[in-house]
Amino acid sequence: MNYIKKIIIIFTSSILFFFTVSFLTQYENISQSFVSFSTLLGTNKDKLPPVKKDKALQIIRLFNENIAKAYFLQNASLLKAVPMTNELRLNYEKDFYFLKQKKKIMQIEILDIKVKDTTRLSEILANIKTHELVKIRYLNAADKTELSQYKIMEYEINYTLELTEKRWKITAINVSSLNKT
Amino acid sequence: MNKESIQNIWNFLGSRNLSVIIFIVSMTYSFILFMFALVVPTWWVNTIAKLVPFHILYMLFFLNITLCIIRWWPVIKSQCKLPANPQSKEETDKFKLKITLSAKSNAIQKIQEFLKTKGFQIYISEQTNKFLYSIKGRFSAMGTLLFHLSFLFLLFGVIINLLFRFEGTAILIEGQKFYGLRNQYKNISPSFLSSPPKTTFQVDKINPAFWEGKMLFTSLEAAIFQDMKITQENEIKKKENENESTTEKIIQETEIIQESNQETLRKLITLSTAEKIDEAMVTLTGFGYAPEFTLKNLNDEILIEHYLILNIFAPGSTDTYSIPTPLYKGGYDYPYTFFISFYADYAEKDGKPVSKSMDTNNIAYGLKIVRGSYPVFEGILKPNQWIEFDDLKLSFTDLKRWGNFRIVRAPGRIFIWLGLILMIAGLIYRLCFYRKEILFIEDDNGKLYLYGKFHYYQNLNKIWLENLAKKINEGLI
Repeated sequence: MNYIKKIIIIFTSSILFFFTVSFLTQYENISQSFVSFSTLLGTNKDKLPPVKKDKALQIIRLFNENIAKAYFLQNASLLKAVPMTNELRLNYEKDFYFLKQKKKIMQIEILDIKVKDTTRLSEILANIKTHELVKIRYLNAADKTELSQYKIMEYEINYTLELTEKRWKITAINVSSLNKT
Repeated sequence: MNKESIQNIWNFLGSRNLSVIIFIVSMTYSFILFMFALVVPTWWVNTIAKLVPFHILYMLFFLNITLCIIRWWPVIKSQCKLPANPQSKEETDKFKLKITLSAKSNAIQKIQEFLKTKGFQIYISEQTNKFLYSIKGRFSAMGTLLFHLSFLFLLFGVIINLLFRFEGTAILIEGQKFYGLRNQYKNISPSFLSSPPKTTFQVDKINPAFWEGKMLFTSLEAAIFQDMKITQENEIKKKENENESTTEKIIQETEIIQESNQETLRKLITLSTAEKIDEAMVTLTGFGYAPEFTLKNLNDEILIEHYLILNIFAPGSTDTYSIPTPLYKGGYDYPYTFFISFYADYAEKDGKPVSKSMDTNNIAYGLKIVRGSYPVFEGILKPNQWIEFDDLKLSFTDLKRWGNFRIVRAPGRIFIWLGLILMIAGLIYRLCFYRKEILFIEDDNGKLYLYGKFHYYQNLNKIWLENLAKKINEGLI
């Protein structure tokens, strides 16, 4: 019994010593690990507020309309008003520049957007799955004459959104064509 | 602080009590690490293992070990000594087992022969024949010393590794040469004073084998050339042999290399088995596919042609590729993202692409090209099949395998191994070849006494000693 008592004392004091010394010397390392611990224990996805479908549709529609406008006007500065990550914005800017070099304009007309599913991944992350019908054609940049006829495209798109400063920002887009090339 | 206090601290630091405390604390800290390992990534656990309390624990441990060796050395030395006068009362009192024999005094001669066959060293009073002292495992106490010393070897090995160990991984495609340059590594974890080891080799072939075509490896091996002295003649001969079957080709290549250059060595590195190449141990830890990406304009001018290292080996996995700016000299970036998946044995099931097996019988690529956020192509592409999109042509013109090679130089390894060997040897010597002492004394009345002293397993040895006494009494010895 005496031995067990001694073992318990050593066990407890070594744990106390570990956390005291670690906190005093390397606070950041140990506190971040605790955050991970508490996140794991405390996260309950059922308690997360859902993303409503009409709200999701509003975000996606606004995003697509802005993108279509920016493509048609070949004006990258219009993208600044669109809530998305800099990486995504750079992708579009690259595309504008590419089309400019080719002296082309891409015209996008949104026919229909349906929100198929919304998933709240965490407090700040959400996923929106859509089914979209768009018309795409290319115009000559100089005189706006048609280079290719309208082609109706049917897409299934997965948007990943992040909540920053009470505003949803698109962080990733994954598109699949339903009418394969 | 007075002399007595210093002595007390010294005694405590080299005491068995501290050893027990260190053991319990080690167990507790291992438990803490285990708990963290459940929730945080491995690199984070490594960071926690480097926190100050762990350093204090290591320091205490090695201080305790060193002081134990110093403090216990005189005791160990005395334990290895032979008794000066075994038949004296003072010595016989130390023997815990004592049996009175009914045999006659002349039995001592016979017993002597018997004990010799059992590996005992015999010390006998030749003048009087009144006593026989025998001992086995005289230096077994040294096993304790070896065991404790082994920790110091381990410490030395760890320090050497902390200072000079180098570990890096490199992804190499078949045919690619590795010169051990820092920029050839995908990631490195060097120690304070280490630089990449001098290691030069060329990957020849990477051969995975699957059990019945399923994703179960029966083997994964990489054939490598240990140096770069592959002559142009070899290259030509190799090309000539390209139509041969793979096995024949490998055999012929080996012969060619051996014929033309004795210094070039072809080695096989198998999965998870390290092979020594120059200064480092090289291990193959994984593989993948590297299709050759060829992009042309409509005038058939090649714009880009290179192998892509992709993680597309596992069925259903997709990897992405974007053309880096310096690769294309056209003056602007290509805004494409290529989503590539791989079907080793392509087939269609319910209109969806599948791979029938892991064997590369019918290769096909799932390809999606996205510009901006809209796909400009999505479909299946066979090797050397060309597709057109946005005034460009694309094909996967060749397929190679890439290997993930772990390159390690650990100069402290030898000390760690030596430490482990010493540890095991010390334990075996101490516990299996322990000290056994047997003493026969004949008193003035001609009565024989058998004494036994054993360092371990008293009950077992008591039975053995009683059996010995029985045999002596029955005249069997």
